[in-house]
Parts: sequence; C-alpha cells; structure tokens
Amino acid sequence: MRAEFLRAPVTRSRWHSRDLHLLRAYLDLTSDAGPLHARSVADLGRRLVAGEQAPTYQINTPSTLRASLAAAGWGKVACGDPREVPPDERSPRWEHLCAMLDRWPASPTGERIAVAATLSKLGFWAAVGRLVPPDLTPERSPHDARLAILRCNADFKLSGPTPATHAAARKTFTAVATSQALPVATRLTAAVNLIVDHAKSDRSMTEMDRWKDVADGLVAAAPGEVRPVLLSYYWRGVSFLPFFGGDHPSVRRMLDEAEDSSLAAVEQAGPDEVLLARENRHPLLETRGRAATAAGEFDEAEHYYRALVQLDPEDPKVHVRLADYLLRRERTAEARESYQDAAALGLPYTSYAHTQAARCSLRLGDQERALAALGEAIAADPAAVTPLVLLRDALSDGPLQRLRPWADRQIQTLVEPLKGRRALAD
Amino acid sequence: METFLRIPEPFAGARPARPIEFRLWRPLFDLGGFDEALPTRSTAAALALRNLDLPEDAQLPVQIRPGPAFRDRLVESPLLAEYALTDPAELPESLRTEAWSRMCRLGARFDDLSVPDRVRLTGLLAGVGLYRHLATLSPGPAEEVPKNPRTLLVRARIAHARSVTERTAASSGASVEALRDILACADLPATARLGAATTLVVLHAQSRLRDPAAVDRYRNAAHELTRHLSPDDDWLDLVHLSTYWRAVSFQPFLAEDRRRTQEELDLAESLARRLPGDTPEQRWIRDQNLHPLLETRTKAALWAGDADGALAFATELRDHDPLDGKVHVQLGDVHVRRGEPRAALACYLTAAALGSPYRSLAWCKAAGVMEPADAEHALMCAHRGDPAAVTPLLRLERLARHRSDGRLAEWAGRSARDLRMGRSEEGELCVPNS
Repeated sequence: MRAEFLRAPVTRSRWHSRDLHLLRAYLDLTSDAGPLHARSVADLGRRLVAGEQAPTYQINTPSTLRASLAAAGWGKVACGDPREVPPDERSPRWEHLCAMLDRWPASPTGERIAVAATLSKLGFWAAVGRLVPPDLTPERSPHDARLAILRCNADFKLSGPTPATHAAARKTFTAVATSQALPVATRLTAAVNLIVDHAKSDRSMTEMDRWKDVADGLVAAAPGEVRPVLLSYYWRGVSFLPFFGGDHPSVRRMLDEAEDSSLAAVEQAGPDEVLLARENRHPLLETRGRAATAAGEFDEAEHYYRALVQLDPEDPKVHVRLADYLLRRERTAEARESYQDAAALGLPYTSYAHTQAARCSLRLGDQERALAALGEAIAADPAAVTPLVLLRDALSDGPLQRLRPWADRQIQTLVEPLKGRRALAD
Repeated sequence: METFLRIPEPFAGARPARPIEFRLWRPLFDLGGFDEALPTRSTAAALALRNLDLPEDAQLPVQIRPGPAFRDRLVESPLLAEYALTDPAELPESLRTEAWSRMCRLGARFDDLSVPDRVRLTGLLAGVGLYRHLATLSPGPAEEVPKNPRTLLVRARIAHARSVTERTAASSGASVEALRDILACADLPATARLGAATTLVVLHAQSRLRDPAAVDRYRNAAHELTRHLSPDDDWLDLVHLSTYWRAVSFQPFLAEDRRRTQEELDLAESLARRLPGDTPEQRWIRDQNLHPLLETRTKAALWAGDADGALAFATELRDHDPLDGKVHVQLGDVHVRRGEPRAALACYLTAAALGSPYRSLAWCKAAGVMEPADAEHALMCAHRGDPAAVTPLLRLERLARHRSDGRLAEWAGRSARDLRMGRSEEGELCVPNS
C-alpha cells in the first residue's frame, strides 16, 4: 500500500479541499472560482473596494451555507459578523468590508447599500438585521427601498417564511411598487417580488392578478427603463399566473419571452454585466425545467436541466435538479451519475446527493456502493437523519451488520431533542 | 428534492452525533467502548488498560497497535476536533472516561512513578496512539538501568515513539539500539528479550533497515530464547511462539525459499489456532495474534503464486475482523490480483463505508476498478476523505484531462503540486499502518 498511495504531511488538510476551492469567495470575497453564486460574491467584493454600485444578483445564498462551511471545519465562517474573523486571516477585500462596517454609522447611503448587499450575499443576515433598521420608509428613495428589501430578505433568512415575515415583506414591496417617487425598475422588481411571494405562499390569484396589472403597467409605461435582465425576471414572475391556472401554453409563451430577454441580456452585456446576465439564466432554466415537467413535456424538461448544468457546471444544485428529474423518470442509473456529480462538487448538497446516490444504488441492487455513499453522506452532515435510517436498514446482513445498533443509536441521539415535536425516522 | 430529513439548528448541536470512526476506534479517543464489537486493533488499548492492574510478571502482551499517523488521520474530522491532542490531559474533562482520567493522573507524575508503572503507562500511551506525547517523556537516567533492568522497556518505548514521530536516521538508530539493549540484558524476562529479538528481525527485513545478516543474527538469538517457552503449560507462550515463527519467516522469505516460508508460517498458524478464547483478554490476545498472521499469510501466498490460498486467508481475515477497513482493502487487492474487479470493488466500497483512516485509500482503489465516469466520482470521494492525499489528485488530473474537463484537471493538478511543493518523496507519508 505504501508505494501506491502518497499523502502530503500537512496539517489542516481540509483547507486543501475542493469544496473550499469552489466556495472560497464566501471566506475571502476574492476567489473568482466555482459556481456563479460564488463568483457573484467575488464580484461584490471587487465592487466594494472599487466603490462601484452593487448589482442585484438573484440567486439567494442558501440558508445553511455558512453553517455548512463552519461544520466542515473552515474557521469562524459561521460567525454573525465578518469582523469576528481574526485580522490575520482576512483577505484585503474582507479587511475593506470590516473597515466599512466600522464606519457604518457615518457612511453615506450608497456605501451602506454596498455593504448590506455584500453581507446579505455572504450570508451574514444577522449583521444585516442589526445594521439596517426595520422602520425605513422604502417609498421615499431608491436607496431606502433597496435597504428595506435587503432587510426583509434577512428577516426571512433568520426567521423563516412566517406570517410575520411575509406580512413585513409585502408591506415593503407594496410601498415600493406603488411609490411614484421611485424609478420604474425598482417598482417593477417589487411588483414581481409580490407575485412571487404570493405564488410561493398563499397562492392568492387575486393578489397575483393585482400585482401583475401593476407590473404590466410599469413595463408598458417606460419600456426604455426596463433592461433585459429585469424584463426576463418580469416574464418569469408573471408566468406563475397561468401556471397555477394550468395554462401551460401561456406559461411556455411567457417563459420563451423571458428566455429571449435573458439571451439578449447576455449578448448585450458589457464586461461588468456578463456575470449578472448569466446568473439570471440560472433561475430561468430551473423554472423552465419545472414548467416543462409540469406540462408533461419531459424531453423539453431534460433539455433545460441539462442546459442548466452546462451554464453553471460547478454548482452542485444544478446536478441535483437534473438527478431528481431523472429519478422521477425512473432513469435510476443516470440519476445516480448526476447525484454523484453533485456530491463531487460538495457543499451544501454533499450529504443529500450522496444519500440520493445511495438510494439509486439500493434500487439497482448495488449494496456496497450504497453503503459507501451513505458513509459519505453521514460524514458530510452529522445532523442528517435520512442517511442513517437508510444505513440502518441496509445493515440487516453482510459483514458490517454489527454496526446496525450504532446506526440506530445515532438516529435516537439526533431525534432525542425533537421528541414530542414531530415524528422523525422510522 | 426527494425526502431528506436533517435535524434543524439549534437542536443539531444539542448532542453532536459522532462519526462512525468514533464508534469503531473509540478506545483511542477516550478509552471507552470496550463493550461493543471492535476492530482488533482497537483492543490494544484494552489490553494496555488491563495491564495497569496486573502485576509486573503477569503483563499481557500487546501485539498490534495503531501507528501515530493512524490517530492523526482519525482526528482530522471536524467532528472529532476535541480529540486532536498531543497530551492526554488536553482532553476536556467532560469527554473523559474514568480510565482516561486515570491515565492522565498517572501521566501527571510520570517521573515519580515506579518503573513497573512507567512500563504500564508507556504501553497505554502507545495503545491509544499518543506517540508524540510518549516521545516527550524522559527515559530516565542511564544509571537506573542496572538497578532495574525493566527501565530498558520504558526507554525502548520512548525511543520507538521518537523514531516514528521524528522519522530521522538518528532516532531510528536509537530505537534499534534500545531493542538491542533489551535483547542483551540477561536480567530481563526471556519473553521481553524474545519480543525485542523478533522486532529486530522484522525491522531488518524491511526496506530502510534491510540487512539479511542482521536478520540471521537476531533470528538465532530469538531461537535461543524460545527454549525458555513452555507452550504446553502456558497459553501465553503459545502467543510468543506463534509471533516468533511469524517474524522469523522473514528469513526464508528474503532468501526466496518458498517452502520454508510456508512451513514456518504453518507453524505460526497451528500455534495461533490453539489459543484459548474463554475470557475477553484471551479473545483480544488471540485475535491480535491471528490478525497479523493472516495478513502475512495472504501476502506470502500471493508471493508464492497461490492465488486461491491468498483469497482464503484474506477472506478469513475479513470474516475475523470485519469492522477494520484495512482488511477489506486487502481482500480487494487479492481480488484484483485474481482478475476479479467486481469482487474487488465490493471490498473497496465496504472499506470506504467504514470511514477513516482507510476511506481515501479505499475510494482511490475503487476508482481503479470502475468505469471512468464512476472513477471520477470515487477519486473525488478519495479527495474528500483526505484532502492531503496526493495520489487521488494526480489520478483525477489524468482522468479529467482524458475527459477534456479542463477546470477539474487544472484544479487537481495545481492542488497536487501545492501539496507536494518543497517536499521530497521521502517526506511523504502514506496510509497509516500498525
């Protein structure tokens, strides 16, 4: 074994991991690698130092990302404030952010927006909640509108989608969407956000119709102010209405419009806008995949999920989307391959992707491969219950069956604090 | 997304789940977990712990111990960060078992301990893999030796710890010297001297210190000492004699004498199979004897071209010690040699499921018997299992280039070069061994 397997005698070997390579921007605001969402973090870091305006990237940082990074052993990344990172571990951009935070009380509004947008993208939502007051008057100025929206997003991330957070978000978006003092682009974004918010919560057609009318009016009134990325976002948002009505041809027509705009955005983008334009295509292709699946257009759905993989190949989520689709189509071996691709890219989908790959292996009668994948899933997320349940059930025979009681105990250890709250496992 | 349950914060942190490595190798972490089925190498700590309460002349032999790199690999998991320690006293009180606390109490007054207690404690520290701490202990003044020859055992353990942690020619030489001192000391028990002689045979049969003349010399010395053994009267002498035959079989092996190698290993095996297993201690000692013997028999059979014999021994070892990832890797290797990639893959994947420290190696070997698309995934798992492992990165780079995945190839190649930068082949460690 010695000659054929070399290892470097380094300490803190986890700092050499590929997960970290792909997500390092979340730790240094600098590394221009990995999925589009990580590259957009680096872009915000660059703009922060250059004093440029922060663009509105659409991919929301996964709620568990910073916790996942911390759980994987990468320093104090789960901290509530970037300044908790020791000075000697800060990159120059990180240091710059810390300096801006120090002077927050005296900083101009434009700078505050850049800082809050960066904090939000980094996943420091508690810091956003601390800095941005809840009682802004968003209808007064574009700056206040942007800050208020960032604050709403932080509240969602911190408290989850509760009636209170939905109510607060709707109040803010309504104030912005209906304010004559604000630019059309800002108002249109808020109107579309209201459609999406209702679509994802109460599915009130009345409310969605109301905000679609507002959005339509804004687009018609000032078409010159609506840039292609925003127009694409508009079409994607309003497609929720026919979607809930089961009108798939209309959904498709609207999403075609969204796609045309997104492609135009990419084509017309200057060097500083390419990332924003490409990032817009990410949620659009996801939506197209889902819409085509709902319409029973499976070849088309697969086309979009594969296009998504092509667009953002280092984002594990896109491989998960494709794999979930393939698994639902009972194309188990192909699904396993995609889950494996996702698992290889790592956080924050490592455990889920390995678990799903294991499910596929179990269906394919590949017991050892399932066990190995479950081992990876458990190692990747100590709070995950599902891989333990699958492992326990898979250990009914074979050389490792003596580990079955351990798996059972692990499950009990995890669910113990939740006893009486909800039924888990079994 | 399909159904996937995980415990939400803040509940997940209430009682942190430990990884599978903690279950399997728990004796190394806190000297607990002896009431469960364990890999045989975990039981070294159990025997060393039992020796704390046994008289000087009734100490139980500890035959295999995890090496220093073994423990290092285990504690690299962020879930086991509290156990990444040098001194046992660094373990937080809340995580200590009574046995661990006892070890700490003894360690706190090491220099004042009696010689027998120093022998016991150094054995226990080695049993839990705390070689770096062991290496810092004082071997005591040389004048102590004539007064109490057992001091030589303490000195040899400390010298060995320094050898495996410092990895220099000087420390290695000092370790060999310490073993020679034991062998030369007529006032020590014959079994202690025999242990030193057989260890010297093994050391001089292997790469760095390879010296066939020294193998002959120490084999003869060991042979003389076996005259003091009474295997028909004392079951522990069966252990010593079995170990002796296993070690000295290196001599015919080096002489490429297949028949004699087999005969001597047959002798070792026949003695090993006579060992009793009525008490936990007897079972631990029996298993610790059988494990390396079956490993040696597997290798010897492969060397002799006996693929069926190798498969039988490796399979028996797997059945004998199924919770040790290494035995599954070894069985996989035998299947590869027999041209049975599917069977090999199943073994490597089982080893991977058992976690560190063989997780990365097992995935890497699995990649070698997989289709390219799966191999890339397996190599990424090997990388994740041990991000300091160079071999998976080099293979990933090659595979990614072949598949025209420039980004992956570039990252893997650069990472491998970063890891190796400024380091010689000599300085690189491989998978931990006993």
